Amino acid sequence: MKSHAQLARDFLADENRADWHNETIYTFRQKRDTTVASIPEWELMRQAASDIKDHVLANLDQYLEQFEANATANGVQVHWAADALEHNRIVHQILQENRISRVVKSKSMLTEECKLNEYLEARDIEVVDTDLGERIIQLKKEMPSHLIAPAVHLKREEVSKLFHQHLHTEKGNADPTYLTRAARAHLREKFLEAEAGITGVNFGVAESGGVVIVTNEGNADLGVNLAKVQIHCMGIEKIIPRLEDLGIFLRLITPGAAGQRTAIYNAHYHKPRTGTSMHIILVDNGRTEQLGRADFRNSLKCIRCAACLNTCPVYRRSGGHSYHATIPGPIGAILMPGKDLEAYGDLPFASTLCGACSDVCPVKIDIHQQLYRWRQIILEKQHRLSPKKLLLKSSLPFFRRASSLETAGKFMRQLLRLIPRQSFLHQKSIWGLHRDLPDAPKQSFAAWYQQNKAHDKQR
Amino acid sequence: MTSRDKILEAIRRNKPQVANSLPEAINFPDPALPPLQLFRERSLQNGCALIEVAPNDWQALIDNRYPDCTNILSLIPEVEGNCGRETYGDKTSLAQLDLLLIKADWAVADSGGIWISDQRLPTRVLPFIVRHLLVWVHPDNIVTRLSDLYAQLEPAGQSFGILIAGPSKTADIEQSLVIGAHGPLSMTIAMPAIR
Ligand code: SF4
Repeated sequence: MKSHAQLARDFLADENRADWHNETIYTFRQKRDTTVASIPEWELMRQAASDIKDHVLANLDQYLEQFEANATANGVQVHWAADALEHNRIVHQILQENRISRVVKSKSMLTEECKLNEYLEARDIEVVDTDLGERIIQLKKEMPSHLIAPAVHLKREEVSKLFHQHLHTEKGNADPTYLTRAARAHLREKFLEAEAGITGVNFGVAESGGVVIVTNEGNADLGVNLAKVQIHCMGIEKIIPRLEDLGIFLRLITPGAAGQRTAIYNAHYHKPRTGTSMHIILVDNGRTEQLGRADFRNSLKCIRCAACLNTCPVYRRSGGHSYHATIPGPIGAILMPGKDLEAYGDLPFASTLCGACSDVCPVKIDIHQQLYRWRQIILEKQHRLSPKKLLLKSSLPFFRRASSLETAGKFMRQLLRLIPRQSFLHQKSIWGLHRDLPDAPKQSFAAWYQQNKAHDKQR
Repeated sequence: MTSRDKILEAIRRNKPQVANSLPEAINFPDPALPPLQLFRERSLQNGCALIEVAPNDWQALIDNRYPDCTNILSLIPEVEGNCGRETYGDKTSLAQLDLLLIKADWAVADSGGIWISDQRLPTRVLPFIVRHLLVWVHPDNIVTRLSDLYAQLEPAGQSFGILIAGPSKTADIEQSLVIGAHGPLSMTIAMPAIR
C-alpha cells in the first residue's frame, strides 16, 4: 500500500487541483473562525465539553448501562457489538428477521469504518447512501475524503458526468442546483421504497436513553421516519450524561465544518413510532483498547466536527484520500494507528506539528501532542538505524567539546564553498529533494561575537 | 461471555482510575439582542422567511403565498387545509404534500431553531417530507439559547423531538449552497402581527 507521502505526491502532481482543494478547505476554516469569534462563550463551552467527555470516559461503563436501561424502557432494542463484523451481523440479522431487502442509510462514519455496505450488498441487500455527498462517492465507488463533506475532492463537472451516467441527467449540465434536484428526485424514490433506515449517531443521552442525529439535508429523518425499522449505529464513546449537555455540544459540533452556527436538523429519537421497531447498536471495535492507552484515550472525545481537518495545512495540501483511512486528517492520524500500527504508522508523520488542530478542537483534544507521541512509539519500534539517526549519532563527538565544534565548523564552512551543489541536491537524494544548502557564513557566531563585543567596549 | 459483558469488562479494566466530576453549569453572558430580535435575525440567516399574520388574514396569506400548493395539511386551528388523517399512513399521499402548517413548542433565539415534539406530529415524517413548511411561533415561547430549551424538557418520557433551523440544504457539490436538499424547499416563520 502507498504511504501518505506517496499519495500526497500523487495528489500534488495536479497543481491546479491541489490549489483549488487548498482554497476550498481554507474557506471552510475562515468561515469557522468568523463564527467562533462571534460566540463569546466559545471557550467556556469548549472547557465544559472537554470536562464532560473526560468524566464520561472515566465512567463509561456506568453511563452505557444507564443508557441501555433507559433506552430499553423506552421500547428500544439495544445491541452490543464487540467489533465491525459483529456489528454488521447484527444489522443483517435485524433486516433478515423483518424480511427487508432495501435499506436507506444516512451519513455514518461508523458504518463506513465497519464496511457495512459491502457486507450487506454481498448478501443481496440494496443499501443506498442518501446524504448527497455520500451518494456521489457511493456511485463513484470511492472513500469519503472528509468527515463532513465526503465528496469535497470532486469538481462539479465530475459530479455532472457521474449523474449523467447513473441518473440520466443532461450531458454537460453541471449546475449544482440542477444536479441536487436530480439527486433529490432519485433519492425520493429510494426513501419511499426502503423498509429500513440506518443512521449514525452524534450523541447518545444516558439519562433519557435516546439518540441525537445532526444533519442539514433532511435525509436521515426522511429515511428513518418512512421505514418500518430504524437502526442507529453508535460508537460507545458517543455517550453524554444529560439532555442539558446537548445545549453545549450541539453548538460546538457545527462551526468546525463550515462555520454553521447550528445544523438544520437536530433530531432526538427516544421511542419507536407505533407499529415500528427501533434498534441501537453499541459498537466497540477498538474503542475500549484506545481507552486503555493513557496517552491517547483523550482522542475518544472527538465529536467528528472536522475542524482539525480544515485547519491542517497538510490535509489541505494532500487531500483526504492520501490518509488511506476511513477517518482522514489529524484526528484520523491519531485514531488509525491505534487500530493498526503497521498499516497506519505513516499517518502521525503527516503533520507539521504546528498545533493548529489542537487550537480549534471544540473538545480540547491535544491532537498534536498525540501525533508526537505516536512518532516516538513508532521510532522506538524501529530497530534499524535510520540515516537521520546515524548522522546525528556520528556528529555527537563534535558537539561534545567546544574546540572540536569550532574545528568542525571551520571545515564545514570551507566544504560548503568548495563542493558542487549538485552532489547534494540531485534527484535521488531524499535530503536535497525539498531543501537547499545554505550559503557559508564568513565566520562562526563565536568569532563574530568576540569581534563585536570588542567593538562595544571601544565605544 | 456476551459482547455486552466483554465490552463493559474491558472498559472497567481500561478506563482512567480517577474521575473528574461533571462541570458546573455555564454562566452564559447575555446576548447583544433581546430574544425576539435575535430570533428574527437568526431565522433570516438560516434561510427562513419571516411573516406576521393577524388572526383573520390566514386564508388570504395561504392563497397569496402558496398559489401552487394544492395539497395542504394544517395542524393549526386557524387554517383548514385539504388533507387529513387519511394522509398519515400512506406514503404516496405523504410524498404529494405541498404545504404543512404547524405550531412550534419552542423557539431558540440564538440558533433561530424551532422545537417540535411528538405531541404535535400525527406522524413524524411530516416536517421532512413536505415541499414547504410554515411554522407558527408565539413570541412568549422564544427562549434565549439552546440550554434554556433543554431546561424546559423533561428527560424521562421523551419520545421524539426535532429542532429545525431553516429549509433543508446542502453544499456537497463544489460547496455551492443549494436550498432544498431532501427536506422542504422553503421554511416560513409566522408570528402574530404586532399592532
Ligand atoms: S478531533 Fe476535535 S477538531 Fe478534530 S474532528 Fe474531532 S472534535 Fe473536531
